[in-house]
Amino acid sequence: MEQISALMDSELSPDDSAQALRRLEDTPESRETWDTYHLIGDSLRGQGLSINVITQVSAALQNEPTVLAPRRVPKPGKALTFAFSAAASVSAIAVVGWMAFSTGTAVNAPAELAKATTPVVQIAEPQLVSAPGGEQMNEYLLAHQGVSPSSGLQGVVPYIRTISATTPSGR
Amino acid sequence: MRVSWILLCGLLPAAALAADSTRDGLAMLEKMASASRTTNYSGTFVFNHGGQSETSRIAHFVNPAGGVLERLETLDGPAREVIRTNDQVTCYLPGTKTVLIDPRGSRQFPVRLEQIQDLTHHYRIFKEAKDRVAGVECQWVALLPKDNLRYARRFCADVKTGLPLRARTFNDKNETLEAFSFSTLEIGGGFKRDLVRSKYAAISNKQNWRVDRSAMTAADSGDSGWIVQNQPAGFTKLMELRRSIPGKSGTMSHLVFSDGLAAISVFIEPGTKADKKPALRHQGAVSMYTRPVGGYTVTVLGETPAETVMQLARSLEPKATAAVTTSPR
Repeated sequence: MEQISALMDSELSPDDSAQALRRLEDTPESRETWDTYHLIGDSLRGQGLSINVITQVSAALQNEPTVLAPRRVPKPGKALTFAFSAAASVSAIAVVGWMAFSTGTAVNAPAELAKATTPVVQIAEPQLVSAPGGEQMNEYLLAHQGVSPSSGLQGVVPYIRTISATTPSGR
Repeated sequence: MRVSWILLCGLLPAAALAADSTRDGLAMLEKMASASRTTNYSGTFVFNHGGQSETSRIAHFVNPAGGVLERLETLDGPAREVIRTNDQVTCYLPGTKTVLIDPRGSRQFPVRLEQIQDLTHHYRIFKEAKDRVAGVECQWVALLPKDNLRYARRFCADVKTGLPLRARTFNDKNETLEAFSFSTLEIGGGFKRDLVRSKYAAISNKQNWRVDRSAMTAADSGDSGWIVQNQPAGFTKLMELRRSIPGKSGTMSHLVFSDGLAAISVFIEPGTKADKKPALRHQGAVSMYTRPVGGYTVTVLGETPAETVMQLARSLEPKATAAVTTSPR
């Protein structure tokens, strides 16, 4: 408690600060205290974010070229889930569709995918197409975001990818 | 003679301007890197990926000791929430009644000055026009890749604090993969408890939502027993971790590579999935490639083109095998 107070006031040495911060992480009570100290220390200000600009910004973003990939082949999900566990369901998170590479132009039909084998020689690798990531990407995305420098740049924003991956399909 | 004089007049200032622009761009990036550690802000942003656009509310508070309290809540569709308390990130997904908890990298990787300068090996960096986003004046900075192993990025950062107000990731065909923009924003201001209070913490407890918690420890020896034979140029290994696998026993190795901006994670799990075929997925600017190697499943993902994660995934080998084919360094 005292330590947290000191932490708030930046009176601790770097070592002690680190220790206090670790304690904050470990115990909910400490976190509560940390929050409360903030609450006490800072003047409360009026709330109320106007969100009427959102529609405009959203529209502006939409109007900019957000092209993504060649057109989606109907029902790609079924053909692709083979690559993952039985539980994996491709929740189509986007109109992202199929992304062809290697040649950069061709889009494989799902049937061709079935012929894909584990590569022995790199050059001989058959083309693979990409499917929109579904929930099975979640835990990996989450773990990845914590160690990516872009999280340092944009704080918690990149985590939107993790929670977006759970958006119900059909959008 | 006259021609060369004209050339000199034209080229020298241009070169000098370009150098200035790069220097200014780097300075802006440095400012951006520190913004999330020094600036309180709250507002709403729009995230656009794959033709889908999502609006979220965000609040970010820091204290002088380096503590961070942050909350993100989606405003469209079912409200999903991310709470960050210092190094722990918790995602509440009411749709599936799931809580995902991750001990965010015990060491963070804020872009440090020397790392920022190293970025010029792989990206052309320069300052662009000024702009205004959510009522705040901002400065565009472009990072254009020198090869096709990474994506181009553009940021418009608040002139005063360096906070990125608009960001864009695009591929070599100049197609936008992800776009981010604040729509309303309040920079500065004191801590407001209500803005970071979890909507779901209590209810998830009461209703016994499924909790997936990933424990993480630094690998003892810093050696996962795996080696990358053909590392994508410019990516260096930042660390090796051991993680528990949510819902399963045992641990997996987690190797992290980065070029200073983009990062690639490699996950190596014992066992292979029922179908042993390699598979590729993407989510916004993130590519993910999974393939079986020996008795393991290797999953590589990063905010890079698919080729980059695939190159890394394909060149990953257990050290024992590697020793036979190449001599160790």
